[in-house]
Amino acid sequence: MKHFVKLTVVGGAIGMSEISNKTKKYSVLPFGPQHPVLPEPVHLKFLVDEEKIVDVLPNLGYVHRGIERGCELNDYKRNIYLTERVCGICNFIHGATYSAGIEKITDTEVPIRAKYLRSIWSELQRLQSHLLWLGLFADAIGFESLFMQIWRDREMVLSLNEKTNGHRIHLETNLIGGARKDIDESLAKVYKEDLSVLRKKVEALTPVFHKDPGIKQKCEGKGILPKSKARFLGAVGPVIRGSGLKEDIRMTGYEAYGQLDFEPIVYNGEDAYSRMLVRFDETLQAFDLIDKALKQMPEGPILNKNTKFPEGSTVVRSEQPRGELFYYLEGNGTNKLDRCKIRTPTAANIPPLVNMLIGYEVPDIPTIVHSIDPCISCTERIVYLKEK
Amino acid sequence: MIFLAIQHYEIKSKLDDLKTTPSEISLVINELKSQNVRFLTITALDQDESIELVYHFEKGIDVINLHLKSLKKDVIPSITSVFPAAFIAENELQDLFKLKISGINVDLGGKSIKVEDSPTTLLKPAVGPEPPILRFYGRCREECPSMVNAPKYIRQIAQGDPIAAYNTVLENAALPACLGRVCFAPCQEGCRQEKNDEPIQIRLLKRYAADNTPALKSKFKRSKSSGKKIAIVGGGPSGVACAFYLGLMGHNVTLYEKTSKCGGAMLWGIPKYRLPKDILELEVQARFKDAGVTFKPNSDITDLKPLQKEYDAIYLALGASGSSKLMIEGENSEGVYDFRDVLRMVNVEDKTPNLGKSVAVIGGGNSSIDAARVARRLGADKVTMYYRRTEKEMPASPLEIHGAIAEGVNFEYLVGPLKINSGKPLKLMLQDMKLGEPDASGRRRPEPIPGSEFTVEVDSIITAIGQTVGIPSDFGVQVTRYGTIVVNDNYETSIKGVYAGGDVVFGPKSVIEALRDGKKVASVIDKSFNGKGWPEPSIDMTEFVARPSNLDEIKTQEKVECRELSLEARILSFDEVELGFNVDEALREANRCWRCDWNE
Repeated sequence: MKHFVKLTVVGGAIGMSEISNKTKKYSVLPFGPQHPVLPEPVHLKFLVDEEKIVDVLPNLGYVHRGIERGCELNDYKRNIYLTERVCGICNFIHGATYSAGIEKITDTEVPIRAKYLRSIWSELQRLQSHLLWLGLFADAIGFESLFMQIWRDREMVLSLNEKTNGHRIHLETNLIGGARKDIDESLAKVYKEDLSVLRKKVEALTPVFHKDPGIKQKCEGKGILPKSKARFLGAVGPVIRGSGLKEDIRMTGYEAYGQLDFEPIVYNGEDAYSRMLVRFDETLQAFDLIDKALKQMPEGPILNKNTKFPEGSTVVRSEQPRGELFYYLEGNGTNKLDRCKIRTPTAANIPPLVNMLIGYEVPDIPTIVHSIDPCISCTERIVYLKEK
Repeated sequence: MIFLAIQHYEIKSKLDDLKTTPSEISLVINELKSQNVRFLTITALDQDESIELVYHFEKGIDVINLHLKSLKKDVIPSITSVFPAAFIAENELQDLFKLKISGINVDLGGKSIKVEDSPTTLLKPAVGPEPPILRFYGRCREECPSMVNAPKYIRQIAQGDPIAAYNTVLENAALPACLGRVCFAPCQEGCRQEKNDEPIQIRLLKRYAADNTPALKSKFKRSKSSGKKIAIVGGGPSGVACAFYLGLMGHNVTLYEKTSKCGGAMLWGIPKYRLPKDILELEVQARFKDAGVTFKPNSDITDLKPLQKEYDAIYLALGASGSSKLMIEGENSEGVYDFRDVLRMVNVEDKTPNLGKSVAVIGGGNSSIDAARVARRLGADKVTMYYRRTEKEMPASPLEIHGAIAEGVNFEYLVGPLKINSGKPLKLMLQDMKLGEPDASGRRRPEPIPGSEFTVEVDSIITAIGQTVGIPSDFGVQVTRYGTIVVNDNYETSIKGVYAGGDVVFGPKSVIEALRDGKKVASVIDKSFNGKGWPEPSIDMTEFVARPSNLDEIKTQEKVECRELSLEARILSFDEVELGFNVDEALREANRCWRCDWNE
């Protein structure tokens, strides 16, 4: 009982392993950085006992792009477009959160209509992000026809983006102090019509996600993240809501969310299946929120130009499709920022991921890794400081 | 939920700014942890020579910022032992800002983001760093006969969750509240703090966990009924433990006890000032309720045949029910008591026998000391213990000896009894001894010194030189020449389907060993019905463990003294002597743990 062997691989931060039998041999299974089920490069090193995962070591750092450093070199107004490049999928939310931070430092009042516009576009991004993920997830668990169907339907959101500001992916409708574009009556009509068509298509998938025995078999009970540990390990977004905790930054009522009166979607299963259902139900909820916002949106100006340079520091948070997005901004009274720190939700979800993987089998890896909706490129926009 | 009117982005992000220094950070972080904050991230603000770190935490909907200013060359303690989620952020700091951070769990060794030998990310090797990681049972756990997961429940207490700690103990030992009072705590002897003579007081922490568990209820549920019927003979700790685990595994258990209450030697043998009998009763009944055990008191089993017909398996946990005799002249005189009778009168029958003013106790075990301390409470002014070897060879635990000395019990070593002359007062003739060659037990054999006889006059004598095992001859199981039952490796006796464990097999032992036997037999019986058995003690791999980063501070902390009843109050009553820890004391004591089950 007292014999232990030095492990060759570190256990993840969060669950460590023990070897009680001296003769037992463990294998090391490298996973990534390039792997068919990984859309983006991350390296996970698995210590496996035959098929069972004993230990995981996450290793990041394959795609970092120096965006934080870039934010210090750019004019603070142009940073909106740089921060929108942090993530392609939820680009608008990055820009809006950054603007919100600058508005907070410079005491710029944002017109109410602009706040509604930001909420509408944020939900539109959530819609397309979740549809993208549902498709990828279907692919990861081997349900290819579902993947193709969802991605075909998702094209409607992309064409809405295009009708708004000319780009299929990047919206770029954001400015410090408000919005660059308005949704006029004709565009609002297009929004309503297109989204009602899309809604029917998504609703038709409800029985697939909620009842299909194949999906259930692949995800139910996989990658358990206990409710008691979720907060301790810093899980955010659908991951923590799939573990039964009602945590959603939108509940703080930023942008127009305070007046849209919604309840965050929470499932208690603690497994990959619950996290998937949270995302699916949030997709349907996004339709409601957009409808409600379009209906409630008051007339008025959409931009209140700010004239001050940012001076002071602030923290600003918002709810991305993947969870809580965090910005720390510090200005010095010039047109360049001193510091712009970004913490994306995937960075927060990696410690829980390590915890989820231990104890499951190698074939479960794609399901569990996908269940946190990893967006590695967003995570690794780390600053690289020049050596002096 | 909070829905405020639209006024501004992020309603109340008014920053609560705190300041700290590298030497104080672990204190502040622990304080924040107790406020149930969530770790967000760490921002580094580069200021040429120095660096400012801003730790961001979420409390409710507010963000708390903790500013730490330090020189770049200084070492900053890691916070991953408290907030494990910080390991990604801290590895980033280490790699990008060239900071020295001590004790990161897991330290990626400067290879997480960018390394010198990989000028571009494309060349970054696809292998990670390989620091050696070891995980142990922990010395305290290895010392425990029942392998109770001490490191884990100490941590749970440190995290403010005594109920979880109670359930952790229950996984391997069925009566935590009793153990917290009477266990001889081998774990504390294994504790690494023992080197400083100040081990973590694990036994008292266990008691704290039990005291803070309402009605001693466990989280364990009885699993689906298996339809198997099992009889357990004897309601001591071993029998109760076996009944509890078998019941949880879904078997229908009936427990036969000779007397009216369960507890066995714990009931009659352990004085009330150490183990209040209502707590014992409450805990035993709670276990029976958890496991759905049928309890049949006042049923003396003298023959196994009817039981064998009715039940699928039988567990004999009869305990050690006799006492060794002095084998000297005058042993049966009036005023000479067996320690068992004295303790039973006081503990079970609530009687106060009159022992007179001066009492002699013969023997050197824990029970002898119990008898001496009980005599002191019964009004004897002069209590003297006579033991034939020295204090070093005494089987009683040092803590007990010190407790007895504090209460005014005298100790006479290297004396053996020769003869008792009846009358009032009794005349006890004794003889000096010296130590000879070691015997089979490794202790040096006492040898009489001829011509050194002397006599003392006492009002009464309590003999406490040991317990013996005796079982009814009708049982038909094979016994050794000492009267104990012969069992194989699986605790099975010479009769198939009849198991035995505890004192009746191994002679008088401790409570924790009896509980271990009960648990093991439960496992064996379940396996004989093609069940999985109760899980073997193993390391909880899902539990987060990290060495605290402020180890140097922890090592110098002094142990928390347990509050005790004053000496005057002690000898007047049978109230509990130890008063246990309150919340503050328990947290302070639990936080002294080094967590040496992780990476020595």
